[in-house]
Amino acid sequence: MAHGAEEVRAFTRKCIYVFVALMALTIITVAVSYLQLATPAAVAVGLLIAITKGSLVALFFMHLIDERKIIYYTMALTFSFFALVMYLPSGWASDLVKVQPVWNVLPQEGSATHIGGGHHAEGGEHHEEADGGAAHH
Amino acid sequence: MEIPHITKPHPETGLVNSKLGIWLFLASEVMLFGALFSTYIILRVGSVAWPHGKEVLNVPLATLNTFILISSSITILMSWASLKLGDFGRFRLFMGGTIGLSFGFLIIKYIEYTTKFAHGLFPSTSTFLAIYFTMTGLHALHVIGGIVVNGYLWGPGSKLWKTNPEMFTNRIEAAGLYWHFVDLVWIFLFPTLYLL
Repeated sequence: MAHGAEEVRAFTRKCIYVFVALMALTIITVAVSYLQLATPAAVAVGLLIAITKGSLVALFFMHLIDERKIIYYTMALTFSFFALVMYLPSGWASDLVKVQPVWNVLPQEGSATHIGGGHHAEGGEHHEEADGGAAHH
Repeated sequence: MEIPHITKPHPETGLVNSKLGIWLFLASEVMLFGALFSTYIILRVGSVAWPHGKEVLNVPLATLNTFILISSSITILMSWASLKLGDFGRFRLFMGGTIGLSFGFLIIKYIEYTTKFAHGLFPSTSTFLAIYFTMTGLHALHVIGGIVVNGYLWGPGSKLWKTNPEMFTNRIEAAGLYWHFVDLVWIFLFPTLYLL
């Protein structure tokens, strides 16, 4: 981290460049959102720009580019848990893939209300005998 | 009672305790917002239909708010740099600018919220609006918290500069780290809610 007067001045000059870059990236983010990209591409580009902007803020404004090891260890531990929290929805999404075909057969006349994972559709009773095999998965 | 290692770094960590403390606080904040972003993903992936942020929300106002928050980040950094250079007058100017920009952010948020309410759009209206109001509302509370701290350091708290300038500069650094984090959260909230 900067200490002497010259170091402080050099650091603030760098931060002004970062500020200009952040402003430019904000304009790019908004402009890209009007390109009507497909959702996966729009999410990828939007997140890439956001991560770039976030990294600039963390590295320069928050001085992480030149910090003590204990701060790096603390943030590494934090971000490993953060990554886990971001990963959790993917587990839920894979469960959704299993449930989805069951929902599709539910409207069938006379079919059972048995769906996976212990759920019950439309609050109905769960009867194995009446299942008729229609809703097995 | 004197707080230990608040102006001179702790021999074990190489940091003043206030700086380590604010980083630990920010680590907990990462998890707080992380849980909400995770919730957002679950709600969005699990819903049959999800509105495009642009169709429901005001992108130009949110873009203006992004510019405002980024500008406030550079002004608070300049206020810290001014103290490092021993220029208290410039500190007051830049910190005052930061507080002014923070109020600007809140006023725009107020306009956004009241326009939504006037159109009958409430958190209970849809899942999208529920997560929008929750995430931006929590972020706005952080902005208000920042205004309170920065306002104190700009006003009555600045007396410390006369008696212990090093300690005061460290306080501004800690306040600045918090404020940059508030900016960082908005950088991710803006595209997530408004643009995708």
